[in-house]
Amino acid sequence: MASAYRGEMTNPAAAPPESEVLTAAEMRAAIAVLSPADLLRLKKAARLFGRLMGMDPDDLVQEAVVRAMEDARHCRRAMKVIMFLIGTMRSVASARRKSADARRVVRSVDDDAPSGGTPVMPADACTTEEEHIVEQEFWKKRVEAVFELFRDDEDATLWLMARMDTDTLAEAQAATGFDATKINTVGRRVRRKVERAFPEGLRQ
Amino acid sequence: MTGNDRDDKKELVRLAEALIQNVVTQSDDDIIAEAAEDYGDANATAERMRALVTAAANRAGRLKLEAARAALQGARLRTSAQVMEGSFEDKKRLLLQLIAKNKAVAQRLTLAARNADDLTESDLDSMLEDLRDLGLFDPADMPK
Repeated sequence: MASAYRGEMTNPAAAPPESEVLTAAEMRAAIAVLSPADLLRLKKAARLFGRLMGMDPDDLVQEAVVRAMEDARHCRRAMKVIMFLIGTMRSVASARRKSADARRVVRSVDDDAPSGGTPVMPADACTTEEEHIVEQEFWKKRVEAVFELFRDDEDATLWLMARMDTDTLAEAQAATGFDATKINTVGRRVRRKVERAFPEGLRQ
Repeated sequence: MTGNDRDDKKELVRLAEALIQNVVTQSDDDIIAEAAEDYGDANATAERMRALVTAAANRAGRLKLEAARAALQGARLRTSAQVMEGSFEDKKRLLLQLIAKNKAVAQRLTLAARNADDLTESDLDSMLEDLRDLGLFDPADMPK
């Protein structure tokens, strides 16, 4: 189930025939009747993804809804709309992050300094080496902080290592040796602790 | 983990994706219970989300409408440009031909217009556009 939302958004070449996909009007109607649980799933996903990818979570939700209506033709009727929305959210956030990374130019503080003068503030799209190092250190410490939450929980630590090193649940399951139930149970335990420790997401 | 910032960030992105996968596999009851723990009132939180997605859906509808309007306007401008492509004499000749061929056209015009007397180029363009909008001629028929 979980891999469906990833595959659907990463394989546009596999566009299904029109009769098998939603129209924009149907997408809109489906969004209007999302269940409370699905709306809460959307909130959780936006919290987990938003700031990490440099976006406000509410903005990410709104952008994903707009995009989902534009791309309704990619949503098969058999697919749950919440899965499509979360996949779209992931796609929007990834595109935003890649775009920001592509614009970013790392340059030396010295590059900005008039000869013998004080360095000037770099343009928005640029970052100084110093800022780059600070950010690097931030991500490193954040990873450490996540692991620190589970210092006394071997299963959770194993789960974290596997999920951070692999792209799919199946790969993580193979790496940990956990069965389907255990990987889900440990995953939920990790998620709840991370959600409480970082209620605004991993980059709050 | 590694000392490389790209790897650390990538690992956090993978973690976020894994946690989201976990969110979508939980039962509705579990998700609602978690929201009650985290936010107090799960229903109120869900309704705030509903307001957010509804506003976005409305915005998407407006964007689509604006895009359709812009496309229509663009098509009109292109067609108008097509009407105005010919020379003044070509347009005058075309108007007189249309009048001669079509009584309905003649009935819609004043005597001066029927004779194409004292018409400026702007008058001709405007009349030809009106006739085009009435479906009485196709700009593609305009002499090149």
